[in-house]
Amino acid sequence: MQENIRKYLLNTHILLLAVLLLGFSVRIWGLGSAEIFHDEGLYAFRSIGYLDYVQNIDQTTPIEWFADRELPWWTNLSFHDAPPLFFLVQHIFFRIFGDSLFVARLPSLIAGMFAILLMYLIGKRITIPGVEEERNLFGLFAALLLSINHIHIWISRSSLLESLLLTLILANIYFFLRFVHRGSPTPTVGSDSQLNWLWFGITFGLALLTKYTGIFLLLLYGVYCVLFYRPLLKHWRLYAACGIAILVFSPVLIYNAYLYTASGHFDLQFAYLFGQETPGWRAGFLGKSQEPFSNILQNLTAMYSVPFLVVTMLSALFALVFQKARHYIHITAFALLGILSVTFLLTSAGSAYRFLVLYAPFAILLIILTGFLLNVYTKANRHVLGLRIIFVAAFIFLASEIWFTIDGIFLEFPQLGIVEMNRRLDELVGEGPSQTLPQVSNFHLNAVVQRYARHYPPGDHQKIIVYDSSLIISAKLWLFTRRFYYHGIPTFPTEAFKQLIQERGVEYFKNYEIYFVRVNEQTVLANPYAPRTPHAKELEDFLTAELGLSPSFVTYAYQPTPEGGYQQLPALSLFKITF
Amino acid sequence: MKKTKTIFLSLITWSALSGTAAAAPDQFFRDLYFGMRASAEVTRLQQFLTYEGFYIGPITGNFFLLTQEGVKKFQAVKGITPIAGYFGPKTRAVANDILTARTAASFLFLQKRIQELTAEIERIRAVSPLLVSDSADTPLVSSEATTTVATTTPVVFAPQSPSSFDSSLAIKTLYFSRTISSYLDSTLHEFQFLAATDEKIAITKLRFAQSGTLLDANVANIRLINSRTGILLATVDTPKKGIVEFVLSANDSRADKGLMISGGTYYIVADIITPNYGVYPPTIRLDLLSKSDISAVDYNDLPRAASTTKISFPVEGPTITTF
Repeated sequence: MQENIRKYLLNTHILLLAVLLLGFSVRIWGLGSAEIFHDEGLYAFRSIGYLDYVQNIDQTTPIEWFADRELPWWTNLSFHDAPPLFFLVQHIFFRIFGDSLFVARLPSLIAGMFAILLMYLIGKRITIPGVEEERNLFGLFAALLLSINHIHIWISRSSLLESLLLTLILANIYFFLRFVHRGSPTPTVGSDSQLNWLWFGITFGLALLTKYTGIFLLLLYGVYCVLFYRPLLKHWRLYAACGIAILVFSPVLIYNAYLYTASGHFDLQFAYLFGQETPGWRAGFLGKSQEPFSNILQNLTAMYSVPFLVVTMLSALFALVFQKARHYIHITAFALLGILSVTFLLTSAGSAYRFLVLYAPFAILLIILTGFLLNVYTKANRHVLGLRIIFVAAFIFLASEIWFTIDGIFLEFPQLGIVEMNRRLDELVGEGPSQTLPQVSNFHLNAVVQRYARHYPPGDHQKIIVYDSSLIISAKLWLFTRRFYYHGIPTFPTEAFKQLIQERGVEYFKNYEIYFVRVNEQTVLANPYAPRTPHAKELEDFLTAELGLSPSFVTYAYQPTPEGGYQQLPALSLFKITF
Repeated sequence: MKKTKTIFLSLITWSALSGTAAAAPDQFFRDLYFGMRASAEVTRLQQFLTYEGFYIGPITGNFFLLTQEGVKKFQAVKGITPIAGYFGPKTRAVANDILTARTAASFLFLQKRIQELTAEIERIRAVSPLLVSDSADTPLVSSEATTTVATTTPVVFAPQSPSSFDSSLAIKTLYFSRTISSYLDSTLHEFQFLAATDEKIAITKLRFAQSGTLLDANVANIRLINSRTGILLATVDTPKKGIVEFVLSANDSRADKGLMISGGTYYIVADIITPNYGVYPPTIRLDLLSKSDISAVDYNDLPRAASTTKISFPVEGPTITTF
């Protein structure tokens, strides 16, 4: 008997390892070469130096407001538009491994692997205790579903806050279930010798410290406890956990208190939440489009496969109808409340693709719960045919999930030509600084250039990158601003370069290697909110017509056409100029 | 004749400027102090301090530590005591003196510039007789991203089934008046508005009246953008006699069908050319003044939309909500 159990456990571990390996391989494949998408550059650039600066007159930050004096200590506690934890984690990775896209995404990948493991642990907890074999099986199935889930893979391969957020949410749910259920399918009051309440508080605080959207958990837990576990509301451990969460989150609270005394409003997200005007911060300029909630169905079908959505809905119905007799109301309600709480959050936050990953754990819970109930039902009634049908259906479902993921992540993932240009610039200008380090009038920012350029050997030649300022900000920050502040390579928008030529004359640039990157305005790389200046076009015309130059390198973007297909357009053109 | 008209125009501009200069609307008339929020006067104070080099914070309209520090610096440099950061009578008087001096300087500058421009126009006209389009009947020409459509006097079109989109359109505008915060701020944006409807209609024309202090010639490349997709829907080169009119026409080959589809959020973005305005805060204000400023067609019948670009919508008028 013992040998059987050991054999079984060994198998479980091997299976879990296989699921983790599967999840790891689809997440790491081409991690550093996938296109920069959404706000990846916006976050990664700032994490390198743990620097709250976006080089934008429409979103100035405290480092610019206090340019004429010592930077107040509280400005390091958080960022003007997001809490600090993800930046801090990424910063540590950059410090250890250097700055690259691979490293920028590495924390997300690791967080994604932990998420799969946590999904396994949560999946185990929701089934009836006693039959270890089945508990493990459904835990594994939950982990497998997350490991091949399209949106979770995308998030785990991206330098976006949601990767860490989802992992901390799963950790928080796990500790909540341990804290409240303690191995029982129904909530029970009792001692908590394993300090689950403490971990529950810590992980909740950390989730909020990653992104404020984690707040939906409060609604989920609140309604769940009111419905099923009111004694908890009188329990000291709950309030102790809340206290711990506030303590963990306190840097953001302190930051906001000081920010308010300085500017009269909180950070961008809190200001929005409290209805404060922030005319000094215009998010639109960053190209951030507030995806309206009304697009949720369209966006859900883009991020989740239709079979996944259908199975989730059928599972919810099935679980609601069949679970009553089997005392599974609590966990079904928990998953449904999770979906409702996320939906409630999105009605105000919008239905941007990345937010939709918050649905994944709850949908998976519903699916495996239904699988479990079906399994119990068919076994009890000895429906051998029914069992076979379930297995075949599960197999087809998994196959469709895998195909949807492969298609979305590897075959049709957006190609915009940013990463390709980044690689080319690495080859051409290298990572080290120019012979002359760029200077910035803001002495805080100037110190950043001095500090980071020290990490590289002194440059042996003069180089400059000139870029078209209509480029979307996320790409601009990664391609050019990063090289300026962290690599000591002068990078200027075309208008600044033009001004330099006017002030110093062409002769001044005689010994420089100058690279000019032009954006095709017909592509999504052109920021429609950026000022339309003629300078980049003028320079391009001058180079092509007067100097007879043609681009030495061109990257291409694949954009959807109205007919539903894709077209290839030149995206970024690189010219090498020598005077 | 042409010359008379030009001189007449210059006189109008000159007289308008004279009136504005005499009124000196940019003086500070009340005390400003720590804790004030969302105040237009604090916004002007922040702009003033920025211009004078005493403030580098954001233009928020909130009087908190950053603004207080700016006022303190101003007081210290101007020898105003006590240096408390309170923008009271003594500090106001000094600030108003500076503003008055600047008004006079900028007025002279503008007057000179107008004379130069008038001379330039005359010179060009003498060379090219085609450039005589300052008549009151000049058609408002706007262009869509791919096609150009000229509109003339609106023709009221009787829709075949007006009840299908009767009174169901609401346009909610946000940030419809903006003060340009600094001379570096060359872009105007976030003239955000929300078009909401319970019917499938498509807007074919939007006409805004521009009533800020910016002259038509100083606003350029006005773009109408779908905020969700970032797609450029229409462009107007520059306002014509204070009117910005976007014309959109059906184009089945485009993702958005070349029309502003109902139920979305849109931005209007423009480039601002900011010469030396002196104390006049460069502002722009866009308003939909009446129901005839919006034309729309039944989205389900795009061929009709394509063939009839001049439709007043709706017959009974939409609900226009601006705030």
